Amino acid sequence: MKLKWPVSLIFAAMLLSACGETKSTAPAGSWQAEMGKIRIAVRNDEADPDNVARWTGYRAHLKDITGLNIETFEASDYNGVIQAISSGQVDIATMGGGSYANVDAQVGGKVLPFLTIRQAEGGLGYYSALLVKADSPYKTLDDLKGKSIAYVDFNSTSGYIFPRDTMLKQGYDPEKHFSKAIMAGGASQALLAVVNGRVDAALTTVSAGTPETGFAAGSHITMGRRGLIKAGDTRIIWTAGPMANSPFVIRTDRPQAFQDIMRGAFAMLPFEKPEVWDDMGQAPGNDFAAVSRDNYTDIIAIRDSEIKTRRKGGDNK
Amino acid sequence: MRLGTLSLLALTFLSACGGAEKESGSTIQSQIKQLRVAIEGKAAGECSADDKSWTPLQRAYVQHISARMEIPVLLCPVASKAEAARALADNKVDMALLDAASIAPVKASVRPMMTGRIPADIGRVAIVLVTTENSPTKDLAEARLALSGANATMLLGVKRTLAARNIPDSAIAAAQTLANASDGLAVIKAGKADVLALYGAEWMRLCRGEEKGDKPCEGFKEVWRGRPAAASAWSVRRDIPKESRARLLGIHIALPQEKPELARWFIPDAAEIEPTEATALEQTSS
Repeated sequence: MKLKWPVSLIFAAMLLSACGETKSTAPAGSWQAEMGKIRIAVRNDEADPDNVARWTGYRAHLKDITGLNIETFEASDYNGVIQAISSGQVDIATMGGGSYANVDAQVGGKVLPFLTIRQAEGGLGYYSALLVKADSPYKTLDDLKGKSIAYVDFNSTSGYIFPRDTMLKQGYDPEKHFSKAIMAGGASQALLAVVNGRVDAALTTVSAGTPETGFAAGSHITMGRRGLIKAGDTRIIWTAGPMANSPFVIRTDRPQAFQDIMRGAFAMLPFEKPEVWDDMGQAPGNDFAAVSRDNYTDIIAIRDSEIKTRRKGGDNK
Repeated sequence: MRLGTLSLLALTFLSACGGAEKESGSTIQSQIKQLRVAIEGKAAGECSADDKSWTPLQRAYVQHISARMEIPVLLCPVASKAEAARALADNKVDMALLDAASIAPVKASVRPMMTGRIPADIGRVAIVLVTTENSPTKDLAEARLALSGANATMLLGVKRTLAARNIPDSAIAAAQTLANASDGLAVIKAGKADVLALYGAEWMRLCRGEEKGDKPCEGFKEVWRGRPAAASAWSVRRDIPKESRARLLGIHIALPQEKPELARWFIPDAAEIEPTEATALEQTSS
């Protein structure tokens, strides 16, 4: 499957929406005057009911700290967020490590990770899980030889880039192992494709645990809670990870004061306004950890390798 | 695709819908004009932007923070944390490392801002104490405890927080450790324990349920939530402008990545610097 960039971008344009704009009167010469407003791109997740509350909470908090209007641009397409931050049309973005690797390849140090959310258990990473229908006969990756798989997106860390690399390292060439692959466009769609019998397996995200302890959070759990699937509809048969949690990235060509203030403002929120943090759907004890490009060098290398393989002719089936 | 083309396309995408942010006018505050940092030593002394007695790390710290804050930074020798706290309250310094004893007399005007992440793995674990809705339990120190053993590392953190909450060691040692939080709720519902202690994220996930309409926490109530107090924390006056506090925090929490040697000097025992709540030096912070 080939995604043509212009089509993808036009699609993203239809899905991006900006919220909020009032005038602010920043002192001349201040970083606020230079910035004018703060623009943040986020990828929305229709399976996550806390997403709207989350960004309402962030906007109010950041405005309270900076005095500037905060605009969030929501895209349901990975590439929409990637292009918005790479082109400098937004100042901050949230994205998976794989998407950041794409940004890094385009603009290098002009965009850098500065924070990530750390789970209450202290983890800075999450896992990719391969799920099948609970009543299917599949127990292992070997059982899926010649079967179909749903990936999330070419730019999805846990739904494409990282697990495919792990499969290769374990001796499974995903291009040959599966008879058919689809790009579902999101973790929810990938899971629904399994539950509806469109594919035999799907890759998705799980966190707050390890393969040994089990996972307390994940797309399948969120969807179960929302009634989109039943909790027992799916079963995890294979995992890959951990991979570094999704970064908040920032344009480094913005004023240094802006970058430092954003790092501090985001980081203080779980401690200053725990009730807002709760309302935002974050677990008590989750907080922010400072990160740098070093936290994502693995995924950058994996993505580079994946791109080189694809360019050599290994297209997705 | 060239960057110019990308910019043009992205610009086309980003269309403001307006309306969500309705706060009017600017709330931009004036910022601090200098930063005087209390440094505990053998004797008190005058604040200074440089001094021959300073170590290279002290000098490097001042230069780094001054460059990033874009204001003069001075180090101010103090003889003790108590003296630092008084100086902070009296507006003679702007930031000082305090502990529970030193901040107590000045806590109306001074608050902690950041501390070292200790222990490095799970930090100061936020816990929740839960009873049945109609529980008569008043004295938590006398209560029979149930604990969730689903995560062994977090269980240790829960026990540390309980101890910091002044729950007797004997009560913690006598606590029933269940396989998971669901079993813990069943035990207090059956009256075999009075209080379930678990870490906050576990409680939240439990109460969300697994299916739409699940209400596994119905009939139970939270009676306390909080973290253990920090041993010490860098503190500021409460009236410091929010933006200056955010900027100071943002610069310092990045020190372990950007200037690890300065981070080790600033908080010697911690691999990371993290924000704190305003009550982080109080025994029963919540």
